[in-house]
Amino acid sequence: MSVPQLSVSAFLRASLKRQLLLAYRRPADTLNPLLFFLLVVTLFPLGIGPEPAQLAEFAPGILWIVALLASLMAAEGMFRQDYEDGSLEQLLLSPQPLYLASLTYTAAHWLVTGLPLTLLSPLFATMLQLPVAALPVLILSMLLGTAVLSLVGSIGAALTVSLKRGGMLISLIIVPLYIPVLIFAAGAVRFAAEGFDPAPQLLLLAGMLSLAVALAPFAISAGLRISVDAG
Amino acid sequence: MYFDSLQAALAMDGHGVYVWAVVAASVVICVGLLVLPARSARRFIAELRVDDAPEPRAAPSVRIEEVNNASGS
Amino acid sequence: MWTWFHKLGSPPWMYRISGRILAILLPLTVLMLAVGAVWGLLYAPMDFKQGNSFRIIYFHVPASVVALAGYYVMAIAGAVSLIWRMKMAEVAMKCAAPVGAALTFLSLLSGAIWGKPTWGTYWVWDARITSMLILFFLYLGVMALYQAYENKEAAGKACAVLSLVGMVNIPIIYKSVDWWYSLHQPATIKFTEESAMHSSMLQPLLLMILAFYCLFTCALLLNMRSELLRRGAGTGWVRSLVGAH
Repeated sequence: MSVPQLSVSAFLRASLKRQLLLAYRRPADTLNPLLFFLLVVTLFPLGIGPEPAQLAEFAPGILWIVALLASLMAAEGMFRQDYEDGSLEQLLLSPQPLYLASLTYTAAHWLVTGLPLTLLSPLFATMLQLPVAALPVLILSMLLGTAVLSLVGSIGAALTVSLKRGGMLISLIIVPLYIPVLIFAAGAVRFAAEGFDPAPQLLLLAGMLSLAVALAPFAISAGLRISVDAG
Repeated sequence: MYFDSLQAALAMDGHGVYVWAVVAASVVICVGLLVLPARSARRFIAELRVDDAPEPRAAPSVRIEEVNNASGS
Repeated sequence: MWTWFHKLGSPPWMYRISGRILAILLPLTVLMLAVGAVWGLLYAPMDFKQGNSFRIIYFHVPASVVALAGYYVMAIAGAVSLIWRMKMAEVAMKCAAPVGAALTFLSLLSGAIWGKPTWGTYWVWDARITSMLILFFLYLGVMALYQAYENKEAAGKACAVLSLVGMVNIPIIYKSVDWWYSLHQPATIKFTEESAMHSSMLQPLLLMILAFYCLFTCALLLNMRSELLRRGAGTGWVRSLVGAH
């Protein structure tokens, strides 16, 4: 008799559900990056002055830098608990494709950090005087960009999960890889705010997302294997 | 030679400071790139040779005793 | 047919051969660096627009070119070590990182010094300098990751994965920085106008680029020899090597 096998789609559903349930049980982990976003957005007018015109000019860059940092902050703890309680090792031993399992981890991470950031970004944008006309482009760039950030951040998280002092290291590893997203996403919002067509940048972001979805899971799986073997 | 005199070559019409600073930095980094690994390898070989020599074997045990005495007192 | 490939994986063979290569390549590199530097600094004609400060090109451009190429060397060595589980490739990857980082640093430093007479300031967020700065971070990331792992086998694998991820990203980063720069500042004075360069200026530059490639190779081999000794401490070949001297 063969051991009953979980179908791949059932496994992915169960895995995603588990991740989301874990996130739901620890709401602080989800709320902290959002709170961080709000705090840093508050700091900028205090640091550079409250003139609406000046704020509006810097708003695309500020919003995207803060989103990037919030995503980075959330990436660090992504695999931590599963590594410590051994469920990551179980996952590596299971016959399920690690490529897809890494994608569910990333998807869950995006659903609890990238998506809320995206949904709240119009609020923060309004506080920073971003023109209302640029809001749809901001939301679209956030949807595409934070997904890339989650995928790239997962690579760093997978490579550093077995290390004790992973926090600073993950920034050094991941921030250089975030740069193209920052440039094109902030550029798209800036274009929209100034009345130009932001389609090329958004298409480039979509291209980066496709590339990241296709390739990042390989690096994430390799990183997870290395981390579990090293531990 | 492009310059008329050594003075002119050093001054480079006022740009000498920048050019020669870059030359100095390049020399330091290039020499460092070659000398540091070579020296590290030579030192390691020297260390191994000291370890291989039979005489200094007693040295670590003396040190351990000292540590024990110190912790006992 | 494949014996050379197996020999490449053997530390004593590599140590012996690298010693022989260095005996020839090292003096040649020093000679090329000296000739190229004197040629570029004292004999090449002055640039019409930038004056003599343009002579920094003979150090800045070779360092930049080889620093970028060094990242590819590191990443490809990392890929070989992952795919064929070849230890020698892992040693090469680990040893290429500090050499590449040093050259990137030289590129940044010479670029900053060059900026003063050209733009009147030491730091300009020019597309090339910004890209080099990011490359520097990429190198530092690989080196820091290697240091952070206590298990050096895992460290090698993790760095190989990271350098491959970096290699995929480098073209994207460079393109995005180019686009970002063209958006914010229309090109004013470029460091180099490759096509417009006269051959009397170009020849010493090409010699210096070749010399820096040789320098990278020498430094890489020297680092690898040191690393091989350390990894092989206690094995027969290192013992006989130490005893033979």
